[in-house]
Amino acid sequence: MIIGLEDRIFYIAFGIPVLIAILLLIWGRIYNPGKEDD
Amino acid sequence: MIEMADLYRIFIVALYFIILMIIGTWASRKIKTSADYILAGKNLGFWVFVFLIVASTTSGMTLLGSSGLGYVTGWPTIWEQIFVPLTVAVCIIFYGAKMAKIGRLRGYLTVQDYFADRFYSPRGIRGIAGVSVITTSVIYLVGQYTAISIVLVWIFGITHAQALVIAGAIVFLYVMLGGLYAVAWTNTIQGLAIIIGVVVLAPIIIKEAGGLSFINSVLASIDPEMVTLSYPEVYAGYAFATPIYLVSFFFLLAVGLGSSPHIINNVLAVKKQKYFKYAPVAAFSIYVVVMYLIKIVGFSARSLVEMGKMTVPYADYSFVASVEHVLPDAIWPIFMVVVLAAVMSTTDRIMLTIGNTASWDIYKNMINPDADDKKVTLYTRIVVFAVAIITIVLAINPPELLAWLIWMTIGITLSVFVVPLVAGLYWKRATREGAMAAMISGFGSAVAFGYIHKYVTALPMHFSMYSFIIAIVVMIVVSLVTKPPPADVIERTFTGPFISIKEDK
Repeated sequence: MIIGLEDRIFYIAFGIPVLIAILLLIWGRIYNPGKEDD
Repeated sequence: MIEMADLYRIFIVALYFIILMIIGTWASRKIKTSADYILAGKNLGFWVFVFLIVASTTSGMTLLGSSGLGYVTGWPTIWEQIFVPLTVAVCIIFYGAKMAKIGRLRGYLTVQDYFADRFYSPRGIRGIAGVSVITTSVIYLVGQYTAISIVLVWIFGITHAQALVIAGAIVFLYVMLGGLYAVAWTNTIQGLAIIIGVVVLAPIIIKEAGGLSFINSVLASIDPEMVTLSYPEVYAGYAFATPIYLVSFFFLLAVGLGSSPHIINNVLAVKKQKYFKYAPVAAFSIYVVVMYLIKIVGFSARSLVEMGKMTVPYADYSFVASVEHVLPDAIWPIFMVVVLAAVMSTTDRIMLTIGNTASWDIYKNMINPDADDKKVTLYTRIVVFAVAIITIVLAINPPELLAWLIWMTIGITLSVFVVPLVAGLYWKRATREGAMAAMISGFGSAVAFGYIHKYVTALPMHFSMYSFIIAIVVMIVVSLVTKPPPADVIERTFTGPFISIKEDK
């Protein structure tokens, strides 16, 4: 039990947002915005 | 007789309103063209854009409604706290980054400009989209004004009608004066107020409620399923979040909400395309922390009530009641502004969206193409004024089905906008006829399934899931049986299965 939640539930509830943030960080690394036209 | 405490509250809220008005007046000096008014001159910096898109998404229901939902349902609705921040990232990455680039090259001011260009339909599809935007936005706005009124009535003990007039006048004035410049900068202030307020308040409330472990043990004692991540079946009014329902909730919130014009139009206003690299992670990370804290405040409120330390008149009041409970009288009025900021930040953006749709898409592009910039901006301001009056009158006697109508509007957004937007951006075979048929069938079937769910039989998934699937099927079938889009349209709108655009193409 972590903060009164089963371990599995705790890791899913708090792990998914962290995982999404990591994926979005990877997007930031790979996205090429191309030439700025201004 | 007015007491000192009342004067103090009036002073705090008045100070906040004065700051908003100063921003509106400052912003009005920057406005010279329609693009200045509608899109802040396409000149928004990184953080102003991040706060604008987060605050546009953060409605009154985000703060009051999602803590209220946490109070009633426990952890199974924590997914809402992930899906809503995720929609900002989905909006930027899958809809916005590409559309903004095309928009910069093609001169779009609204998402309807993109639809008209991509689906070679200067009037038809623009008209259908415009009418959908105005209808759903007006309903949404009535809900937002009702939420603002709840907060002002709570703060001052004034009547609902008085609260509506005060709120309507303030929001109308700064939107009318400063357009998106004013909305963007006031939303930055409001966004900061929400973040600081929630981050400071939540730990105090959680501590007062006995800490996270204790709060969760209280939830488990009410119903053991409240400390799981979904309900196994619908066995009570609150136990709606079954796994299959949560799948439809993902599409509704993470995929559908981000396609709302009052959210997606923000991407057309950025100064530089490179902001789309790290804006998704910045917006998601800030937003998800705030959203989790808001939900946990709802859990804490339930714990405080179960312990007999506090009473809550109804679930959506749990955030407000918790703030009042933990803070001394001298401090809590400052945090009222946080709640007020949350409810006002969506209201202003939606008002501007309606004004822009009516004046730019319908008046300028469909009725009078020769209208000059001054006239379009004047008409936008007139529409914003008319919308303020109409929605306040509607909100004085809000329909009994207001909450249902608001869910209906988000469902309609998923069913009407997502399919033509994604098909338009990524599928070369998507045709004008397919997009029109998808929009009309999406709208009609969303209303039909919403009605069935409410009055005939409860559906296992959110009603919008069914209309969303219908819109996808209609888009594909009608596109394939109609003449392919002209090659020059596909080329100039950079249609294809890619996000980054090479301009030398």
